[in-house]
Amino acid sequence: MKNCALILFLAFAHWCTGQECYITISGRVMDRATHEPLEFTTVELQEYKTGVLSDSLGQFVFRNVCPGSVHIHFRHIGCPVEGIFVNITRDTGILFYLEHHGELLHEIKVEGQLESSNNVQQAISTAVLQERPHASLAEIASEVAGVTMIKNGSGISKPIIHGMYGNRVAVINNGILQAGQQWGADHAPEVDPLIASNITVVKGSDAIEYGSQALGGAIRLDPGPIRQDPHFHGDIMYGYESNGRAHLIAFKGNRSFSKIDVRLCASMKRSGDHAAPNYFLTNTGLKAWSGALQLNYRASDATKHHFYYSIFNAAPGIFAGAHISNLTDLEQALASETPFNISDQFSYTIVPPRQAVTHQLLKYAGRRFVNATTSLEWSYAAQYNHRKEYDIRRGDRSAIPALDLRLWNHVIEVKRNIEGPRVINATGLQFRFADNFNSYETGILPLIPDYKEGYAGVFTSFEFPGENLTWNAGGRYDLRLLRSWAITMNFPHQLVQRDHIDHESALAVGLKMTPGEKATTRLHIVGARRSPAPNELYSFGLHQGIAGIEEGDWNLQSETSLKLILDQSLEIEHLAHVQVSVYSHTIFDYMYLRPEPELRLTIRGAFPVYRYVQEDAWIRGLDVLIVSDFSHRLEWSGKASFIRGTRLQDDTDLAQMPPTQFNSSLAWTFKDSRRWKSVKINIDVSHLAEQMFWDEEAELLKPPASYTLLNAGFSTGFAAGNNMIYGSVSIENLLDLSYRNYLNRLRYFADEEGRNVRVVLRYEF
Amino acid sequence: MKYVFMVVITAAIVGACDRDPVLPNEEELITTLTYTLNAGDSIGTAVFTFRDIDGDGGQPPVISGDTLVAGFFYSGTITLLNESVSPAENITEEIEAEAEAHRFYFTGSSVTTNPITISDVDGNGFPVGLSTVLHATTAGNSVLRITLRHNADKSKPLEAAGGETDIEVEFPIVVR
Repeated sequence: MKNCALILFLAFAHWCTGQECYITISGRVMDRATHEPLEFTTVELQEYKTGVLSDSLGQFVFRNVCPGSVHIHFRHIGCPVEGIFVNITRDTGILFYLEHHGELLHEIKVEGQLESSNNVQQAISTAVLQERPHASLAEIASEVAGVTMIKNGSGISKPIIHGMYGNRVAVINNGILQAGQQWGADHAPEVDPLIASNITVVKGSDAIEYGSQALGGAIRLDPGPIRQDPHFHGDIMYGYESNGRAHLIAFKGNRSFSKIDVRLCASMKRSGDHAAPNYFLTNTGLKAWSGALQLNYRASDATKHHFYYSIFNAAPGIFAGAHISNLTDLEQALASETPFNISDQFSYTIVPPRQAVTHQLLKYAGRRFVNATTSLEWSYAAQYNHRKEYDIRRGDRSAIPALDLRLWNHVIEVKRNIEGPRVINATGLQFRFADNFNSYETGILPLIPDYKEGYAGVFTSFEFPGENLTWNAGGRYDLRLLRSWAITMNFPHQLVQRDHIDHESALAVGLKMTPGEKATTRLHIVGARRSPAPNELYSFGLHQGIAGIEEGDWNLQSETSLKLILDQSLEIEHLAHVQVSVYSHTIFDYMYLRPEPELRLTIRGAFPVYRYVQEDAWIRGLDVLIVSDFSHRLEWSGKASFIRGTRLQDDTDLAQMPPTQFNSSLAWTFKDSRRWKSVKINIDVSHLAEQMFWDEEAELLKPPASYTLLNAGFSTGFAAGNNMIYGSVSIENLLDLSYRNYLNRLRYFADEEGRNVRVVLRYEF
Repeated sequence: MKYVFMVVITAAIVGACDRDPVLPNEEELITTLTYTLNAGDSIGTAVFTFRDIDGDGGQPPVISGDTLVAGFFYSGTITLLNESVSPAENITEEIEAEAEAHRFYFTGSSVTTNPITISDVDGNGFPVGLSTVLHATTAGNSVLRITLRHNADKSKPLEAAGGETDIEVEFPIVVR
């Protein structure tokens, strides 16, 4: 785990000869987030089958160790177990940073990537990734305060950061901007969180590194460095979920050779119909598999190469009770107690409407240190995405996709990093090119026309570290060329080639003040300009499961955004860590879908029309996170987020803003025994308020009522020889509550999922 | 200079490997529904047409109603066409071929007619609705709504039948 693997070897001037065992290994374990010593950490020497506890200063010592290689494991309550492999030839000192408060603000070092220490970003605890292997990226990211998700039924979800999603939230998979057809609410990001070792939510100024796509923030998935250990290590995981009767197997293995580190990941998942408390959500099954291969080649001390390939496949069904429906159907669905078209039998069958998506990523990156402070990085990545959507059609056409989109994407980047004592600088050039094309065999006019898009960008960022004050500044400029073959609306339909030239730019300034040891203040200001995406310009048609026709506007202009974040962290000793974030995001010429006053009459009935318009908007909010620090066995954490979005002109509310949310989580960790380790029980309460601020014109129905959900869990580790078996049982929606969620596009048709019992077994070797 | 370089490179990439996209052939689209009511030679034929050649966008559909005579029985037939392709495609045949999965519902005209009865059945004995009988009873104006559902539960009334709406059109009916 890279979070924990910041290791310093201090070689003492103590020569030893011969094979006698008189070496001393001493060291200190620290909290990665707070840099405080971690008391009660169990440090084990695997080869000697011996362990010691760290003292109040986090210190530990092993004496009489023979020269040779050893595995050292670090265990601490509430932390995933971490280990290192070292070759011991003389007395050695080790400083180990353990991920203790993964949920707290993090300063993360990613191998081969220069990172600012002045970030407003939060990492997802590794424990979350391991205990919720079935979860989608959006569900995982929702663990962070200020992040929610927009859903299209079961299994299809996309993350919302500070009220923004889609074209305004960048998903960065292994340093590469995820290219997918992510413009619809029913298009989830095509990536498997299980292939990542680390998932980070970036809310602040450092998001500009990823261009205008990160206007609202970014979610980064990193495979993480591979431990340099000549033995084969990894884990095998099996997971079951009662709701949907989902089975999952996942494998992760890595091994280091003299110059090459290799990691292989694979996972498979199959689920059937999910269920609300009173009925099955027919046709909400999922078939998915993914894999990734990572090779790190250490050509020399100064030069490193990185190869990465990943493939993601998902075939979800779309809830049968939410067919494309006109206003009459919608009224009938609202009046009906249970949804239409559902079955009273559970089934694994997936029938149209359904989707089938494949995403592949191939990446090569290199890094070379020119001298002690300067390094050069270069990379190339290719992505291929294929999305097919099937509808219920006449004839044998249900087997022909109604939407069949392919996307090729290429990114080339060169970057120079200078890491001096007084200034840290990264400057680079980036080219991106996308080719998006429809199949003509669908027999249906495409929702998005064919297009090609090219970006050429330059970026630079500076950081000036200081004792109490660190400040950073960055800028990015992109030239965008877009060529689309738009479809005229009048008969006969024709293709019109349209070219756009746009300039995108972003400027960011950040300040980090550390007046005392215990408090940190961060202030970030980001200005950015984003040009309209092809879907905002040219989309046309009916979306799956959404009662409405979506129409782009050919004449949209760029939007300009200004975001301010003030983030205050406070450590109250032996009581709590507190983190409060206030933000204000003003977007001029904000592009969004607004319903037209007139309904559109078609042969399938009357539909509301949602058209992309531009108005000035203001989104602001507050995120609070509190983690207790009064006991190392009992831990409480609380989260709250408030958000409000309005139009500046008339102060009316924007649609689709996340409602106010509260979470409270209480966990108790038992004392480790010889066999049983990290035994933990937890109970979580989350409350979602009713959205009081909503756009009456944009919504067909009042937002659903508030609800409170109860979740509970039990997890444990079991020592089996030198290896560990981890098991967990967690129950979501413990009370089997029927409720509806404002941010689920299918809320008009059905309740959310009922109780779910999840069992996960993981064998680590 | 750097700017010019970037423009040239990006333009070259975007411009390169150009291709000519083709529009898909919208063979499945229903553009036109015609409900023809025939009361025999003496009274003649009334024709109700809903026509929207350019699909969901563009120009609004053209709807034409007709006048019936009170006290007469009309035999009704529905014809579906896709007039966006040339020659026009007959969609009625597709419905006939999948009669089990389709059903027409006739609602809303009760002020001026008796409930419309469906005279054709599918292989399972359930109504289809391509052939109907309409009894015009009372002089006046009403609106007839014709709905075509795909994969609906045919044993249930429209409000509870579910399925997918392929057609929902309304015609003004005048009975004199």
